[in-house]
Amino acid sequence: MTADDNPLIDMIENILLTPSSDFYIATILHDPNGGALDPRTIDSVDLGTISLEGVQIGIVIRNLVVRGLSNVQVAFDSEGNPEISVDGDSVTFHAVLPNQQAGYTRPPDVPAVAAAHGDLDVTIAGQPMPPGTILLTISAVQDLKGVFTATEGAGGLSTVEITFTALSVGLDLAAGVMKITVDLATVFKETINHILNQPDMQASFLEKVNAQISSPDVLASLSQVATKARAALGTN
Amino acid sequence: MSADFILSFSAAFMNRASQSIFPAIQPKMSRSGTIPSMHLTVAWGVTAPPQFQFTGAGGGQMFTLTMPLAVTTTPDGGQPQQGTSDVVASCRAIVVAAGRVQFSVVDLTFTSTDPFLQAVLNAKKADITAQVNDFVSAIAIDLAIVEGVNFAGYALQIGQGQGAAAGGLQMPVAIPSTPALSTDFAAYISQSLVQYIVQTTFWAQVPKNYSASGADVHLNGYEAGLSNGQLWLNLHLSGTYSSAGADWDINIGTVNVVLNVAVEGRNLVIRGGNVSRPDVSLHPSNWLAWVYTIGGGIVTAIITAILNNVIGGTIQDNIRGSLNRTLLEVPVLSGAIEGVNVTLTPRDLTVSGQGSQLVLTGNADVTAS
Repeated sequence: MTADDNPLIDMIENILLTPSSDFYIATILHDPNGGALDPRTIDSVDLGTISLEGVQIGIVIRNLVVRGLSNVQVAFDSEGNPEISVDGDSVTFHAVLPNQQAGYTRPPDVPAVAAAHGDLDVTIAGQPMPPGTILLTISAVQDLKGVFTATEGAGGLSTVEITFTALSVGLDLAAGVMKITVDLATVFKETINHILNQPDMQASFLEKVNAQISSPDVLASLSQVATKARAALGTN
Repeated sequence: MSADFILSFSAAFMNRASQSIFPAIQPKMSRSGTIPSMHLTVAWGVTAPPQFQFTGAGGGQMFTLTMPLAVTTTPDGGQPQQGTSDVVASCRAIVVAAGRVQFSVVDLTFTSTDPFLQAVLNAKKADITAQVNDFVSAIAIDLAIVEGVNFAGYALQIGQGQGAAAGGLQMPVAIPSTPALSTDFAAYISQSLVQYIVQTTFWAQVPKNYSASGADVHLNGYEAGLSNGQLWLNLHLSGTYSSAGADWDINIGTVNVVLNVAVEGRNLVIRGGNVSRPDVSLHPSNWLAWVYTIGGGIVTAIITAILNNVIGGTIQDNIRGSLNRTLLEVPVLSGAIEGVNVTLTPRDLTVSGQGSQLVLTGNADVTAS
């Protein structure tokens, strides 16, 4: 079924693009209470171990608070069409950061550049090191992809259920959009930064973050926030 | 049993040697490697000469070697970062077969104010231990330098700033306290060891029977010892003299031999000295000899001949010839540390007597190439 076959989907597609709508993409991804994507607290990101001259170095990030990922707008293809596709009652959108769409006003708690900070636990050969902190900035998101379904209940638009089934962040790491900065009690801090900012390490980090934000709990929470925004459907 | 040969060496000397050779071996006491996947170069190295401390820990066989270690990481295109750690190597000295003193690393401890560096070094401890062990195990001291002597056992004692390695003719071997060194090393040679050398290299080989001018003289026995840095021997001889059917017993008083011990080059040698002229008397052992003896003059002539030709000539020549020998040679030690040739050349050798022992002292130059 296409959007033309389902007016609800067509409606949702439109309001994702409308800054004034409660179902605007940047709006449904933002919840000051932490229910959506921005802000999002990730309890733990285990980056696994890296081997440095045979020494196993384990890196785990805890209480990673990610902010700013709602500062996105739907991407447009080369022909000027929004990158939103519909398959039955499933909607897939592709968004980019930062949001430069006219009419969008970034909330005060949403930083212009996506950023995350957390606690950093490092072990060397299994021995825990003094804790540190990690700060991560993302200057641009090339593809924030979301997939959700919208199903209308017997009660009409007021019973529409939004269910997110996938969410991921795609970055052009080669373009240097991500920067990781750690603060640790060692003279080798810059070396650790250098290691963590290697493309492989950044890709691994992004993969772990994507695994977290696409977890069932996060998708369910985001679905709840988006469903609450269904009132926007009535005003469209 | 007390040791018969003790080689004492000072930590100060070891440290001076370490200082001398460090410029040559420093590149060997470091490692550098790149990690292409991380675009990173990691290097570590000892930054100052290792320092020996002969504290006497671990029952007198342990000593410590301390050295500063620097670890540097350099990201491609970035600035190097360097952390430092003090390294204390606990080392053991043992005497292995054939009297070779060898050192080995037992444990390493790192002390760094950087907890990350500390942890990395702890994780790399085995590798670094092997590296330091290559350094200390290349130092070998040979006790088997006393010519013709095979020691029954060895002992080693480290403490109070100096080490002592000893060999003994009988087990067990105990090392008495030795005076503080004012030179790089000292070798103590006991009277027992010299007596053993005299027994095996002189007495066992010297002819016991001498015949000349009609006299047969037997070397019956001896005593030997050290006194004031000289080797003395008391030789006991007797003999017979026969001429034209007349037989005499020859009574010979103790022959006192005093020989000098001196340094020649790197050798400790026995040289020169005096052989006393003993009292000699003839006692007729048959009636014809009695007849000649009563005559008187012939006896005096025989005694003179025995003294001049046998005791003063043949025997004296044999004794001197047999004892004119090298007691020990202080060797030039050489070895390779990670491909760097290190040579230890003794100098300033002097010998003196201390009671009933000989003391050979000296310094050494250490070079590396």
